[in-house]
Amino acid sequence: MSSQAVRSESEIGSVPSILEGGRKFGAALLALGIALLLLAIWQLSSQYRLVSALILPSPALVAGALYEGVVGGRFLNDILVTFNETVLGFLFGTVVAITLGATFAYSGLLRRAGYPYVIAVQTFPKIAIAPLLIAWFGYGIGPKVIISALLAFFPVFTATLAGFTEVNSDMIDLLRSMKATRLQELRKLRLPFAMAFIVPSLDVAIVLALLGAIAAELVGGAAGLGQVIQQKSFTGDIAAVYAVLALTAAIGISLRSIVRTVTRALQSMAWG
Amino acid sequence: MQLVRAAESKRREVPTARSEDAAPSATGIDVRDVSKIFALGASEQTVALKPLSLTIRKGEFFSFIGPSGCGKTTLLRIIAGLTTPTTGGVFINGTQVTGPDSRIGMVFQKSTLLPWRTVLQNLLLPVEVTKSCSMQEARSRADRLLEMMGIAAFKNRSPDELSGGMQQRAAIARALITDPEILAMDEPFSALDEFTRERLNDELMGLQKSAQKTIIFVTHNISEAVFLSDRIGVMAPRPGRLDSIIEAQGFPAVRDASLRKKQEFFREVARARDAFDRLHL
Repeated sequence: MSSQAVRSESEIGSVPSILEGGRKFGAALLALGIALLLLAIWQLSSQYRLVSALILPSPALVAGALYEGVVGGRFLNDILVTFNETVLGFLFGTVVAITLGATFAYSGLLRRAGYPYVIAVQTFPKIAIAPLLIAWFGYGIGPKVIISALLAFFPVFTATLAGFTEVNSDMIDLLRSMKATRLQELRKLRLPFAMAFIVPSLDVAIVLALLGAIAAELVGGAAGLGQVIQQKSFTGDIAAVYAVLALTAAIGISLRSIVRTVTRALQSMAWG
Repeated sequence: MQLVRAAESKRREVPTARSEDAAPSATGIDVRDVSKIFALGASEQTVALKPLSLTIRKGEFFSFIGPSGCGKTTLLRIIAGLTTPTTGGVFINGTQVTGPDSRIGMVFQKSTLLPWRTVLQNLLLPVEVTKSCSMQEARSRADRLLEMMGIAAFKNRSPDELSGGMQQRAAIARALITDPEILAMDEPFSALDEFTRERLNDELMGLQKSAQKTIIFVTHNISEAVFLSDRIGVMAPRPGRLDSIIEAQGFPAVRDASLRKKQEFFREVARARDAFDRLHL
C-alpha cells in the first residue's frame, strides 16, 4: 500500500481555507449591505412620507417603541409568558412525539391502527381549534401550550418514526454478525441512527412551537407577545407592533440556536 | 418440494458433493446438503438454493460467482450464520454454525460504517460489542490495521469524508479487528470503479498471504474472481444452485498486479467464462 495512492484518493473538499474565509467575509459584508439598504429605504420612505406612518412608522419610532418595551420593561412580562409557552409546548410536543414515534416504530399493529388518526391530526389546521381550547381552559397559558405542542409534535414524530424504522438493514446484519444483544443493537445502532433524524427535526419544532404560542395568543390571551400585537394594532400603535415583531424574530432565532447547540452537544457526547 | 427433488435427481452430482455419512472436516468449512427455500405465501415458495455440499479448506480463497438470483449471497449468509438453511448445515472446524459466529468477520457491499463514529471508533465497534479483548489492545490492533490498509491518516475522520475505496478498506479493517479465522465478503468491491477495485484486489491478496485467513468471497465479476481465488464456485439462477467448481491452474504462488497481463490469467478467465457459457443463462 503506497502513501501516494492514499493521497490521490483523499483530495476531496480541500478548498484553501483562506479562500473559504474570504468568501464567508464577503457574504457577511453583502448581508450587512442589504440590511443597511433596506433600512435606508425604510428611513427615506417615512421621512418623505411616501408611506403613511400608520402603515410603516419610521425606524426611529420603532426603535423607540422597542427601547421602551424592553428597557422600560413594558414588554418583559409578555416576553416571559410567550417564552414559557413556547418552551413548555416544545418540551411536551417533542417528548410525546418521540415516545409515540418510537412506540409506533416498534409495534406494526399500533402503527397501522394509529396512523390514520395521526394523519388526520397532521392535516388538520391546528390553530383553528384555539378558540375552542380558550373556551375550555380560559385565557391562561394552557391553550397556548397545547397549540404550541401540537405544532411542535409533527416534525419530531415523523422524524422519530423514520429514524427507528429506516435503519439500514446491512447495519443490522453487521451488528448481528457480531452477536450483538438487542440492548447493544439499540445502544450502538438504532438510537444513534434515530438521533440523526430526530436532532434536526428539533430545530423545526422549536420554531413551530413559537408560532403556535403566538398564534394562540392572537386568538385570545391575557398576556404574551401575540396579545400585545393584537392590542397595539387595535389602538393604532403600529410602531409597537413592529417592535414586537422584531422581538419575536429575535426570540425565534435565539431559541433555535440554543436548541441546535444543546442537541448537537448532547449528540456528540452520547455517540462520540 | 417434490418437484425440486425430481429435478435434483436428474442433475449430475456436483463434483465436490460428499457422501452424507462422512464426518465433518476437522479444519475448514464444511457446507453439507445446505438448501434454502423461501416461502412467498401459504402455497407459493421459491427455491433460493438447491441442496449443495462443498468443503472450503482452511486458508483457502474461495469465491462464489454467478448472476443475480443464483443464491450466492444467501449461501454466504448461511455460512456466516445470518440466515438459517432450510436443510443441511454448515460446520466450521467440525462444529456446527447455529447463528452468527465470532470466527467469521463480515464485509458487505456497502461499507456500513456508522456515520456518527470516526473511522477509528468504527474499527473498535466489534470489540465494544464482543468484548473479545481489552480496549487498550483493540486500539493498538486498530492502529496496526489502519496502517496496513493505508488509512492511518484518516483514523479520526468521519466515514463520509472518505472515498468509496477508503470506506471499504476501513470496513475490511473493522472485520479483522477481532482477528476472525474467516473473512466473509459479500460483493465488497462491486460499487467501486475498476481501478480502485483492482488495487483493493491486490491488497486483499497481500493481506490473505500475510494474515493467513480463509476468505469466502461473493462477486459477479469473473476476472476479479479468477484473480483472487484458489477455487471458484460457479453458480446459476432459477433455481439458485452450485453448478461446478473451478480450481485455479498454473498461477504463481504469489499473485500480484502483473498476473492480470499474463497468458495464464487470460486462459483461466476463459475457462471460467466457458463454465458460464455451458449454463446457457
